[in-house]
Amino acid sequence: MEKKNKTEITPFPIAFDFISFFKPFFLGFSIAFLILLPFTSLLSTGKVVIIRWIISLLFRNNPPYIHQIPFYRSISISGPTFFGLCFAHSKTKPMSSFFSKKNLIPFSLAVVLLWILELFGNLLEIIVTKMKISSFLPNFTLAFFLSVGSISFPLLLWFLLFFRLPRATGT
Amino acid sequence: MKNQTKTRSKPTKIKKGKNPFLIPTFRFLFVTISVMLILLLYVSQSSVTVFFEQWTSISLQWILNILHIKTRLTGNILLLLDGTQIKFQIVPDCTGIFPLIILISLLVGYPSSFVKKFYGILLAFFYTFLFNYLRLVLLFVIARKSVHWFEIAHIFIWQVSFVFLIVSYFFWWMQWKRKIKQK
Repeated sequence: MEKKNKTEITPFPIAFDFISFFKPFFLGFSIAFLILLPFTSLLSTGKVVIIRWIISLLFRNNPPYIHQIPFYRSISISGPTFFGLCFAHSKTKPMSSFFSKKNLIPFSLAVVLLWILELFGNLLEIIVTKMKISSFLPNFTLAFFLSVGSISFPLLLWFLLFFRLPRATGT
Repeated sequence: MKNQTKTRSKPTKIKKGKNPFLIPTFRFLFVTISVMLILLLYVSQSSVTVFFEQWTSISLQWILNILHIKTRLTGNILLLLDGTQIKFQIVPDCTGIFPLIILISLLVGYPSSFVKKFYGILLAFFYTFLFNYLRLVLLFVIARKSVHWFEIAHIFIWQVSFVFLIVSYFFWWMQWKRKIKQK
């Protein structure tokens, strides 16, 4: 009996109602996505400048050619996903308690971390392609940091933050 | 909303000096990332990648033939024979394998019984591939009419739709799991 109870423990202090969670997630995601959309071009230019700078340090003599990404190809979905999840979570309690000063620091750090992970993925992709190691490593790097990471990183980071939040607010 | 707070379970308390692996969230994150890495290591092998690309290309052409959309397949490249006549290269992202990997990792990592995980993964398999074929067929239908709208649909709508697919399925499964437990 004890063993059965142990397996049923849920780390998440919330009874998920699918519809009442998904609706605010959709709303939060859409808001963040629409806000970011006009700045996509600026963000991608900034990303390319940083990547070019790091690449020029790594490959001083023969840096690889990096083309400017069209704005519609540089849309980041990890940020809006993370915001959407936090927004939906905030609906389960007073919004002010979720987006309090204490929680804003880990929230901001998580957003920056997501951007760094994406940048790191792009950088690794260029490096492994330039070094012509094999097809396996670029495939794996691309898949982990970009294809899978763009969705799974915000989700996992939200779980980590979600768990910490009740402790931070004392619930 | 009121009902939700009523049924809320108590958050797990962390004792100082406790092994972090015993904390459910850390265990969930560790298992999820490990499963994800193992599956990605397998899928990233060129032979497996080629297999998925070929399989998706052939099956997609078969579906398009049924829908009277004429295409020619060369390797993993599908050429539209009418309309805008554009070429499509089927890459690993088009195969729908990555959303499935994310879902499998999340379901394996989440604390639940083996049977619930098994049914969850089985349904995720069908759900992901059905969704992916629907996405690909609709992209072909759009591409026949306009390349511009194809770009918008490909980048904006479908990239975002994978996020909704994963989040909706995972939370639906969590709710289903809880309902089964209550019964």
